[in-house]
Amino acid sequence: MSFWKLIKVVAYKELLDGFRDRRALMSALTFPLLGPLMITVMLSVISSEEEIEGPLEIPVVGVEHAPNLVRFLEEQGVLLETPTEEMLTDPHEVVRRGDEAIVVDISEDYSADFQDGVPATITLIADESKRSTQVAMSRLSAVLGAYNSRIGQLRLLARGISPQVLRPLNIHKEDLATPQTRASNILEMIGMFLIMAAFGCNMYIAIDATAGERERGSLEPLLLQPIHARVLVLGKWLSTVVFGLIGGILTLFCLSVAMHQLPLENLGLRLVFGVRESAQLMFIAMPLILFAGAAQLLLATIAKSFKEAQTYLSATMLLPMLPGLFASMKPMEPSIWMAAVPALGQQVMTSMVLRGETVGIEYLSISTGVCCVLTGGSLLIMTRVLSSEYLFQK
Amino acid sequence: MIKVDNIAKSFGDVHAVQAVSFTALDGQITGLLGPNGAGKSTTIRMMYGLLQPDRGRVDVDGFNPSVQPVEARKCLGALPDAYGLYPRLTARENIAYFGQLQGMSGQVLKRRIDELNELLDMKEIISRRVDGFSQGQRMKVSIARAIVHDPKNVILDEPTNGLDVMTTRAMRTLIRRMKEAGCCVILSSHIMQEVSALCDEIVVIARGKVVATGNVAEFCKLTGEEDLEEAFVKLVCEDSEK
Repeated sequence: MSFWKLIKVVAYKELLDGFRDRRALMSALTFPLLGPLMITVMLSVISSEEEIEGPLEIPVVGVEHAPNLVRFLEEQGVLLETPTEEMLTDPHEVVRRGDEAIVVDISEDYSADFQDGVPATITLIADESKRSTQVAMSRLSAVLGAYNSRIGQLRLLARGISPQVLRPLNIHKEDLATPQTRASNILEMIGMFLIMAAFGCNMYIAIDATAGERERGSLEPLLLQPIHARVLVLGKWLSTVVFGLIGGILTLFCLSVAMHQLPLENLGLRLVFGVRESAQLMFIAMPLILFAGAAQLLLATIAKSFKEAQTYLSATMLLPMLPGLFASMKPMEPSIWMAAVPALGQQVMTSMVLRGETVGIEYLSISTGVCCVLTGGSLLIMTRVLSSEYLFQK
Repeated sequence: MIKVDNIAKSFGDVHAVQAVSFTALDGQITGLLGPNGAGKSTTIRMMYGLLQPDRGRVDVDGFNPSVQPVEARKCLGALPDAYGLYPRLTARENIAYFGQLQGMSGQVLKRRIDELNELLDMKEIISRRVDGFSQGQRMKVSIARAIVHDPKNVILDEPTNGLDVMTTRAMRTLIRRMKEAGCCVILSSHIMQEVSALCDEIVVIARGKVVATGNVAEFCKLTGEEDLEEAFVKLVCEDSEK
């Protein structure tokens, strides 16, 4: 039988074994579902907090002192609630309990102060540790600020002074952030989940094909077959690659479905995540999947037992997640050295694709090249280990 | 035919095998007899080519397993000390996997497995997954897997360990049939009775050395004992006194 046919025999057996192994299947399916689930939960929490739309509803104490202000607020679309008995006596407690986000208290002296032209006091009582309160507060402040400057201008005009005197600066804000760049935190997470899938989905089958084989005592009979160790290594590696590919494709599929279900536009985010992007991401992740399988097989071959292999491989799963975690907290400027680090390079390129940027050919080739070299190296070492006496020394 | 010529193997300070030589002829059952830790398994692993001898050489039908492992293993069927199966595969799949690795396929492989199924009486278990098999059932599948390619040379490392009487007898019948078919069978064991009942030639190994070669009658004459067990004890202990 030819070399390739033998490799196919080994790979087929490992896959058959893997697909009948509930634990291997579970680990292959968990990671693709975990990512989209986490992103969905996170985004829906954020979006429930950021209800930008909808009118402001605010209880105001002392409306009778400031009829003009109240009319202005109503014109601006603020709904004024009639305060309850408790708000009149202890408004702080109402806010502290969380019954109301903001309570506005117009002081009793407001009317008199306003007539005299001294600053009239309005107190805004709020707990700004909540994000939703911050949004409401800034909207309310903007409305009150507008009233403030309008009255100020009228008073200056009454004294024959141009209101321009109070505006030495004309400040323009130009926000260049696009909805796509605003989504960058989520972008980094998508890359992270893809990398997790590359390392996580084939982990179990990699352990079972090496340390598991040893623990069951089936490795010695297997090594007595008239085939070169590289046939076994390549066959086993191919089966881990198949599991990695299935995991990667499932992850991308679930992520893109989740992204299309979520009200991203309402959050002011926009992600380009269609079939074309998914294909590109898969192409980027491919070398990493090849490398992950090889590295995990090698580690599990050297490990003394199934448990030891599991410990090693769980640790290797955390390492590639580090760049993703960092990046989601503080987006990194992509530089060329990152391409040479497996997982980090893929992380950076994933973000590029989702941001709608083009991935440079040299970036892609460095990243792919490094992964391929490391894959080859790992497989070579594993072949050496299997054909040496290492496993049978007492 | 398997020739072992003065092989030695050490692991660090432990001299597992110091000087082992013997020739196992075709159509004969050769027994490797020795107490636990005498170096039987290490000797056998050198015959497979899994371990490289520090000195001396092994010859399997003209091939040196250290230099030409693939060729040597093609004419070798082996039941090692650890004979683990794949629990999620059926008995047939387990046997077929090794058959394919031996280069068999299609109808040839299927017919051979059916033949082994008949020979080892595995009809009830052949299509079941191995998970949950008894020791005897496992052993049957393992031996079928080891000889699926119908090898000229068969090495069995303690093949009746942990088997019940019925399975042991079936195993012995199989070993005799392989001998009749002209195979070179090597059998390692620490059980006197088994070796004396089956083997044409017995190689007694103790402390990594061959202490005696011959048959039961010769051992008794050599030691002046009537009983084989006494003779064995004497052979092994004499060596340790030296």
